[in-house]
Amino acid sequence: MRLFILVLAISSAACVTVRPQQRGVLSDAIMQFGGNEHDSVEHAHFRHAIDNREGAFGAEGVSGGGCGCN
Amino acid sequence: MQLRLVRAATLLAAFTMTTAPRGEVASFHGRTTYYSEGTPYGKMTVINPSTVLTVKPWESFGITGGYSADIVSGASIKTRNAARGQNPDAVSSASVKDTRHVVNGGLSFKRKLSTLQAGYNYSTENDYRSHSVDVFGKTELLQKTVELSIAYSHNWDSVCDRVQIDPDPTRRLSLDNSVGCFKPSDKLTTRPIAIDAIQGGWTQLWSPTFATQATYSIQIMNGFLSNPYREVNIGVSSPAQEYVPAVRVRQAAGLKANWYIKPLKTAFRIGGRLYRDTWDVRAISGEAELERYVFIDALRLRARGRYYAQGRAAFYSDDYLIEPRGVYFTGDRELSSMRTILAGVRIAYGPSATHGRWLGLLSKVEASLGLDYIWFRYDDFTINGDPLKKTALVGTFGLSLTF
Repeated sequence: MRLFILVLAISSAACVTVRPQQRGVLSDAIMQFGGNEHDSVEHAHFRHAIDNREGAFGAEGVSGGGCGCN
Repeated sequence: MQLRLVRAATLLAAFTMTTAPRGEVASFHGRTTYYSEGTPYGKMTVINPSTVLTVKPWESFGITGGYSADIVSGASIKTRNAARGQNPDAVSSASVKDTRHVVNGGLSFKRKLSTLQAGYNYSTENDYRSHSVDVFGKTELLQKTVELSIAYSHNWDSVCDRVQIDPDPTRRLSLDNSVGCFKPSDKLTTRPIAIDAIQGGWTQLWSPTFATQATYSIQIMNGFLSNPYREVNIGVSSPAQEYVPAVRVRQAAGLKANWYIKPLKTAFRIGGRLYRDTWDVRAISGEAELERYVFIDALRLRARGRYYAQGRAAFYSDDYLIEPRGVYFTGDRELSSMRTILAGVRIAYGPSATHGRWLGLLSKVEASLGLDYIWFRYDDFTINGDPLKKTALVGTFGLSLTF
C-alpha cells in the first residue's frame, strides 16, 4: 500500500502533463516498451533464448503500454 | 473432424469480418528463431518456430491460441571434472537431441482504461512436462500518464529422473537418456517442480518524448531443480548426479527509459537490471538500443547492445576435489561467474493499408529480420585452467498479419 501511494505521489509530480494530442511520438512502435505486438512476440523469443543461458531471470519489462493513447 | 474445424473457423472468420467495420479483428504472428552456439565443449543448435493466432470477435474481447517448438540438437557437458585426479578440468560430453512442443491459449478483456488477460500453457518433451496458468492485468491512471501492471503465473512441472537406490546425494546416479520417461517403469520416476512468479510494472510518461518503466519480479521455484543428466566428480567412487537446493527464490528489479531524440528522429532506449537469488547468484545487466525509420515510414532499423555479468552461486566450485563448497555441488556453468556481451541489428518493414484493406482482408503486414551475436565468458568454469569462452549467433525472422 505504501509503495502504491509512493508511485502515485511520484507520478502526480511528473514535471509535465502529457496531453493526448502530444502523444503521437509516444504511441509509435519505436517508443513503446517492448515495441508493438509484432516486436513483443519477437522479444519473448529472444528472452526465451537468453534466459536459458544466464543465471538471472525476471524484471525484463512489460510489453506495450506507456503511450497512454488507447 | 478436420472438415468441421475448417467450417467452424470459416464461420468464425466470417462472423468477425461481417460485423460493423472496426479496427483489428484478427492477427497472426509467425516466428522462427535460430540459435547456434559454437564449440568448444558443447556445440548446440536450437530452432524455435512459433505461431500465434488472435481473434477478436468483439472490440473488447480476444481469444488467442498458439503453438511453438524448440528443436534442440548438439552436445552438452555431462560430467564435470571427469578424469579425477589426472586432469581436474577435463570434461566429457553427451549428445542432445530433443524437441519441446508448447501449446497455449488465452483470453483477453479490455475496457477503456484496463486490460485483463488469462492464459494456459502446456509443454512436453522427452524428459520434461509443464502445465502453467498466468494472469495479467494493467490499468491507466492520472490522465493516462501512468500505467500500472501486475502479472502472476504458476507452473506444475515434472522432470524425469532415475530411481535412486541410495538416497545419499553423494551416491546418486545421473540419468543416462530419456528412453522410457513418463512411462511405467521401475527404473525411472518423475519429480515435481512448482514455480510461482509475480511481476509488477509501473510505466510513467514524463514528457511527449520521454517515458520510463520500472519493474520488479519475484520467482519461487520449489522441487527437483538439478539437471538429471549432469554429474560431478566429487571424489567418491563414481561421479554423482548434480545436487542443488530444492528451493530457489529469485528477485529482480529493472528500470528502462525511452527517449525520442527529435533532431535525429531516433528512439534511444536504455535499461538496467539488478538480480539476486537465494543461491547467492547476483547479476547486473545493461542494454541500449537505437531505432529509427529509414527511407520510408514503414521501414525500421534497430541496433542494440547488451552487457550482462553475474557472480557464482554460493555452492558453485570449478573443482570440488580442490575446493568443496558444502553439501551441494553442480556442474552448471550458468551458476559460475560469467559475462556476456551482445550486439545486434534488426530491420522491420510494416506497411498499413491506407484505404480499406488489402484484398479486402489485410489491414497490416509486418516482417522483420534480426541478427544478434553473443560472446560468453565463464570466469571460473575453466577448461585446462583457462576460462571457457563461447560465442553464439541468434537469427530471427518474423511475419505478422493483421486482419
